Amino acid sequence: MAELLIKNACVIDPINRINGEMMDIAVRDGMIVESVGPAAAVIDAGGALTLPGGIDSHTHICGTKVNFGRYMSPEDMRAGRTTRRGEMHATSGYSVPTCYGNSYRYSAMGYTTVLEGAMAPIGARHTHEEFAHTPLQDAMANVLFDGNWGIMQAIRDGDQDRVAAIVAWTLAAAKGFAIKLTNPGGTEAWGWGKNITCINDRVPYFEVTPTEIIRSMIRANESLNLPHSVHLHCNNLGTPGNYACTLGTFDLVPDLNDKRQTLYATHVQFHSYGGSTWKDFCSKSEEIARSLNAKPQIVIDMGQVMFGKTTTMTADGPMEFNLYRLHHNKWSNHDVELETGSGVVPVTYRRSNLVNSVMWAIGLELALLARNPWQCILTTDNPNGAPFVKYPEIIGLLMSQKYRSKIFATVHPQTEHRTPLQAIDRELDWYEIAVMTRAAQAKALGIIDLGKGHLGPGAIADIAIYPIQIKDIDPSKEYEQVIRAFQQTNYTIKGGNVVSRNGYCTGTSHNTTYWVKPEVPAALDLDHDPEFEKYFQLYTVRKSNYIVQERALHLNRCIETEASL
Amino acid sequence: MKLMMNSGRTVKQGEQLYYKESREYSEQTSLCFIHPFDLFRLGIEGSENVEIETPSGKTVFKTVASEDVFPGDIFLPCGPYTNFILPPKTHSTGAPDFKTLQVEIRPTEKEPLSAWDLLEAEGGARYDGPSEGCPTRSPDGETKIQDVVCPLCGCLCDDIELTIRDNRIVACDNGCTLSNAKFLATNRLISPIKKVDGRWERIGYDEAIKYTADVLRTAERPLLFGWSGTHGEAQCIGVSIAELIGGTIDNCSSECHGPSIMAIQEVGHPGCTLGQVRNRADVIVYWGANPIAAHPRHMSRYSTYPDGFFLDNSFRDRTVIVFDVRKSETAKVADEFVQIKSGGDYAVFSALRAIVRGKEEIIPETVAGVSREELIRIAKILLGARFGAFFTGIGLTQSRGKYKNVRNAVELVDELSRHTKYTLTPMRGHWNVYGTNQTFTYMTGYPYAVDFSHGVAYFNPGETSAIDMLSKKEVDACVIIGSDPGAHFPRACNEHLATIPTIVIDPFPIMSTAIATMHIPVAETGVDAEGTAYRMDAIPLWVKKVMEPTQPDDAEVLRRIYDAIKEAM
Repeated sequence: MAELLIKNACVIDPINRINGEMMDIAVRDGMIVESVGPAAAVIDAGGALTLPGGIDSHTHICGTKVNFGRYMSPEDMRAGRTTRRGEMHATSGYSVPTCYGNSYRYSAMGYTTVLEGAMAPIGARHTHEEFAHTPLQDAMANVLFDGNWGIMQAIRDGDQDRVAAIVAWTLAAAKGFAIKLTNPGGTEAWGWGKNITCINDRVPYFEVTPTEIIRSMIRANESLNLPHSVHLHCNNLGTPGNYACTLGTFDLVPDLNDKRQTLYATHVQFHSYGGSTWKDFCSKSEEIARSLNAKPQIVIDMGQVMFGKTTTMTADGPMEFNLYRLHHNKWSNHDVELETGSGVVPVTYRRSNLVNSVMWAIGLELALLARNPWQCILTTDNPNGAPFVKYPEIIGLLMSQKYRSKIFATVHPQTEHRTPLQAIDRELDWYEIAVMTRAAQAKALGIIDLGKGHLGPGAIADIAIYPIQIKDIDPSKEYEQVIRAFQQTNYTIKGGNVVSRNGYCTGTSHNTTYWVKPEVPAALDLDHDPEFEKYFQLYTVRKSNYIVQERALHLNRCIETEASL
Repeated sequence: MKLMMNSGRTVKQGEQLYYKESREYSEQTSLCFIHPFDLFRLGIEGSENVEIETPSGKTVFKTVASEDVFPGDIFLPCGPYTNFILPPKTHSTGAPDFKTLQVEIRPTEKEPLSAWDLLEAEGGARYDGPSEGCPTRSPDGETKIQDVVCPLCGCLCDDIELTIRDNRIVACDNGCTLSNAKFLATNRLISPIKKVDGRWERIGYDEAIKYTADVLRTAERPLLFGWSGTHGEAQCIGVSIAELIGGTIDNCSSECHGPSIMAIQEVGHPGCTLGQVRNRADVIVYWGANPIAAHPRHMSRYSTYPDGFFLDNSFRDRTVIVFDVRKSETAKVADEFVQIKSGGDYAVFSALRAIVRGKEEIIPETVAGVSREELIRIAKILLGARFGAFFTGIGLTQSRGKYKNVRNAVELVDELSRHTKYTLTPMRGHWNVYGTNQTFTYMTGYPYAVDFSHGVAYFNPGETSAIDMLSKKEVDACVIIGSDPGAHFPRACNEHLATIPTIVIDPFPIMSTAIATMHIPVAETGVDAEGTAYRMDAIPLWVKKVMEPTQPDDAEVLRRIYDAIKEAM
């Protein structure tokens, strides 16, 4: 029986509505409990800010396209190298670090749970192998359904039960966690070198629209009682004027779940653009935030852009080709049969570039204009907007208008005419930051009941202690101290074990993969469905080899749900 | 007489990959395919012996008259004979000149040596004891196992059906001739062996593992090479060993598609999974690749012959174009064959790019032996595709220009993508060579040739690639696993391996056994060991265990070596 007592912690735990109370936290066998015995090991937090372990609800750290980002960019690998040290392995990479690099850097920042934002089911085994080599975080993966032939055919046939059946079977086969739609319909169109411009275009051959795909998948998601909602990367990412498409998409979303949102819209910064060309490109964050504020059924994440070099990677193949034609750097693409696509393009966001400066402003505006922090999650869509190691700087920007103004003075001078950022004086507080970096993620992902994202008795003991005394600090002025504190914890504790101490990562953490297995009525079980067998012959792998066996996974936790079908 | 040498796969050579001790392997890899006109000039008729010489050495081959080879060229099957005369120079790419190498050829009275003779000439000692049989265990009676993944080439066909009886595989259905040969091979090595005074002695696993750990721990410039013939889990442990001892870990890519990876690192890779090609492609291009010999079911499963969802009549509606320096088996079944002069691929890519860009007028009368008219006609076919797929082989990576050839191929695909849909897929050779790139990359950041001697992972093909390190005699200890450099590395590398502690980890006696100091046999992945492999299009598949092992697998042997090193440190 391993016991630990964290004394003198200044706790912010939004799920339990605790805001800056000095308290002790008791841990037994990896879980938070009411109290422990006198023999418990003691950590004296000394009044330092203590939060539940950080959760990234949209990041790209493991799998085929992530690894391609590494493989094609030795220059990025050289830009972030560390040697083997104690129990820590050597790492490489700046914007796309190796598995160990991701794991150590997230852990040093207090993160204990990550969600890989996009996994093609046929490549799921690869993602799980990388999860196994990401030792200091629990992990889960979104499964891509944006161009799934079986689903598009079922939607065309008006067979909603079959849509749900295919989702259920595929999630369990891929050992995935949630439904991801990336540019729904657009990735299939890209199989012919074409794209979808907005939600009412028809997908070539399949003749369904993104509107129909999104609506049907939301229904399937809720009928399968999945923990998370549909996780959507809207159509038309990254083009001037795309905000109208985003607003249209938001208008499609009913409010179907009283525990969480019905739609998670990811990296919305990339979808909040006005103008008709790059010449009159401008921010439409106010319109997007207005829509969000009126729709509690939607949660977004920022997709903040930060200046510097990074690597873009997404299932949105056509978008990456367009990006390549703007940047002329190098271009990788990987279309996935019957399912989706993907692309990888390295980029540099420059302050001297007006478009990049406006993009930087939009992400911040969304976070500052969203009234409810539970509805706007802090991300960079790592590494698309910036590598996740930039999160502390983003926290600094959100907490300090002074810091924003200081950076604003260095960006393209036209930016002030294209964005409302300088007119916003809101500064987020510690509680709101705690919501936006862990609590809102736990709620949005539907994992509070699994003990994630909070510090109440019964929770998994994932805890981050940051070297900062919040009572003594004015983040509005002393933002540099805030940034430093969030860059490196004193202690990161995962499952009751100290996994990182002052940036030095130690030991392992029984890192666990979370996946869902929806139980459907026998008539909808596709394991022995002759039509589905026939459909599978369109793949180049056998159905039996497509399924990721549970024993091929690292430690894992299956979330069984019962479908309402 | 001076001729241009190209070496590559043949079907017969491929069938003998797991029977290298056999006379047939020696016979099939000592052939020399030559145009009758050149034979005539040599004063030879039909099948006679010739001595082929380069600045690195000479040996005897047997001629085969072949009109498929351009006059002025010769084609040699890859293997120990070709490599006996191959200079180790890689032009800082990691891959030597397996192709477009000028050689001197003359008739001779001498007979070809055997493969073992060649390895002994390189400083080794043959291991040609009688077959020791098969260490696998099957259930009683006869068992059929379906959907087995074939561990032979990068196609990773997953529809093989095996019949198992009496502790061995007795039948292999759906597989190609190479697959059959591998699954039915039984001449495994049963116990570890150690070379003592030039003779082989049996030892136990404990001693073998301790020896290997001691050698690696005390070496100053250890190299861990191979990995394409084992599963991902073993590869990851290999990386951890390299990190622990400050060694270099490299895989077979460095001599095959390493230059493709260098090109991808310059310009990227517009690719797709093979099902995209199967269901959509109406134009298929094989360039410097001969799938009929090296990936026998590639055309029937993925590209040319299978039903495609978006094609009415798949076979009739697809156009197959082959670009090659010789009329390969694949060229013979293609709709279009474009024969390029050896070393001329780069120029032909450039010409096609120019035509696609609308600059027909700058194309000269001929480009590397291809007429202007033909180039324009082919470019029209390419542009007329709804979905076009390029498959590029080691004809591009191992010939003059190396990675720049592949770069130009990617840039042609980029150019075509502005008009219609195009993708490109390198024809990865070993079943899990792409897996080595995947695991090495997520573990270290780099796909091959990773040097940990400075503590950090450092990658520089040409410097940290196996052939370069061995030919410069930097390496002072080597582990060979899942590959056979004895058959596939230039002579100078093997000569160096024969002078240092070299440990082979492999289920079968192989050519490298001869130049090793120790051989540790292991269970064979796909037969009595299991793990992940990556197809040539990055699809990960679980390679099954179909019988019970009596030997440890690669992962277990490596884990024990890792633990022994760590304990002694």
